[in-house]
Amino acid sequence: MQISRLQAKNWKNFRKVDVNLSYRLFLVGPNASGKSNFLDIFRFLRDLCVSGGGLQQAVDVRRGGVSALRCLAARKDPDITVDVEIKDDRNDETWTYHLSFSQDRNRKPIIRKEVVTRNGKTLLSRPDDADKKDALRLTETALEQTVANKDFRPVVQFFQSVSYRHLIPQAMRDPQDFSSSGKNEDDPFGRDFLQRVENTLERTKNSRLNKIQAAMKVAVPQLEKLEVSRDNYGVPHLIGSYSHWRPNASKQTEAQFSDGTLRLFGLLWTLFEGNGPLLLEEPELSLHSEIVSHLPQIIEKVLRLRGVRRQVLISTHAADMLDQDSIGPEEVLWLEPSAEGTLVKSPLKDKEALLQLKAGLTVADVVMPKSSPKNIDQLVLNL
Amino acid sequence: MAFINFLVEGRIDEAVAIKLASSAGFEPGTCFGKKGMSYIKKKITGFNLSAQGSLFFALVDLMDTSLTCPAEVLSQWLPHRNPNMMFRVVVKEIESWLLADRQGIAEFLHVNSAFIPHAVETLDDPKQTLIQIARRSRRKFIRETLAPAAGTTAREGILYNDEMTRFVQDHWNTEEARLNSPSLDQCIIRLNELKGKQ
Repeated sequence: MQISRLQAKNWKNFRKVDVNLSYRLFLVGPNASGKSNFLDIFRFLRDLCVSGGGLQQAVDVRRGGVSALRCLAARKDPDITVDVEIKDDRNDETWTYHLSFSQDRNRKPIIRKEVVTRNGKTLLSRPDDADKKDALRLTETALEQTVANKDFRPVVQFFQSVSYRHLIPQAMRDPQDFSSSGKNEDDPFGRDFLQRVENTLERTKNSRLNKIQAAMKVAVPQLEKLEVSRDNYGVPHLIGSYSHWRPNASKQTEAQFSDGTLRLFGLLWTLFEGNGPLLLEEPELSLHSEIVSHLPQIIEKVLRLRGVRRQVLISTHAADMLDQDSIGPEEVLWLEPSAEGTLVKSPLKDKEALLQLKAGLTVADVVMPKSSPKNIDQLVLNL
Repeated sequence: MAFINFLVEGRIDEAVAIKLASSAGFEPGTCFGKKGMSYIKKKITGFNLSAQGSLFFALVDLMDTSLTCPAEVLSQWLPHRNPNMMFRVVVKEIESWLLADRQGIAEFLHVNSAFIPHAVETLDDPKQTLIQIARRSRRKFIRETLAPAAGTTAREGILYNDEMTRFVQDHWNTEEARLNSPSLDQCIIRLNELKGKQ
């Protein structure tokens, strides 16, 4: 399954979004243009569906409430809206999920509209009669209720399968130095990363580690072997054997690994985990530019190796990654800040960019200059 | 409003191109390239092909091409030039155009204007000439930031790009400069012609 179209209104710094999404999507834009906020829409859908989640949790606890979430450029029509179209190629089905919400007098999120359709047929349309009788019902989406979501369980499971990764090497090394989000499972920053690796089924774990080790040897040639094991205190460690001039390889743990080694390992492991949409935040960090330029191929190869068709959304500043003819105009969106909120643009709808891409220029040639910060010279302090 | 996009070698060239285009009445669009001469050489055909709906102003330093005359660059790099693609060759290097505003650059560098050469297009290495002049500045800041520090083998000072970009934006007098540089004069004439056709 794949999110094929996203529409949103008043979401964080976006006044209005309406874009088609391909299986692979690169998101570029200047700093603070909203790349993470864009990805956050998908995390929000996940937060609605996971256990311990739901509308109140997703809006109030995780995102600071409706007023913090609502776009500053929102004026008339202030509801926050998220509307996705999901294509299921295997079953030849198209689902849509629409949610708009606002806040009640106690500033708690309250649903204005929730609609689910399958192949154009409406399965759910709220507010319904029951909602009118009991207004409290509108504080919960149908997604978060097992009884209510019976007819569209695949959508719920699909949203649950969204995973977001922004691994921070220091958090992987010293999880105790970083305060926990309160929930230990599935931490995007890697605090529980080695724990997760260690908890993987032994056979699966070893098979993945072998494949990752082989791939990583290209980037880190002196790396001989990768394993994960627990120390005397039960704390899991990633252990790498490095070859050197002595006859036996020396062992190092994640504490001694370079940032690049840890990030690359984290990225590869992440690709092996799960089947749902994967949101990657700047996967190029700490990596050599040659490796960065191969990231799209690395991702493709791992997914092929697994036989998994999985949507991957990548935010990036790396021109190296986009400088290839194999990236099509439909696979890129660029964010352009404006007074009326950030605009999400596609080369498909930009005549000039489309002509340039058709003339043999790459996304890096065309889109990176367009998405570069305006007035960069103001970074030059006047001495 | 007529928008024009740019294809240039680097930041100073970008500032020059934007200033010239704005003076001719164009609205500056996107600036492509900024990855040196070889990038433009490799990609010029693509940008030329795509210049159907939009205007382009490409600027290349003759010195970097290792060819001897601008016509040669044009015929080798871009034999089928799109009329929307204005491709100009700087003789010999963007610094020639900056030095061509003799009064302006002398004031900016805080040197006697007698140090600034007259025939800027015949200089062997305009950038090194400019840096050598900067070494004679009365201001310590200019001497220390435009010229490479003693002991390094860098070719330019640590703030060279920033400062020369600032010179172009705030001080460079194109009307003065065109009097000393035929290639700049031609470039300005062509830009105005292109603007006239819009």
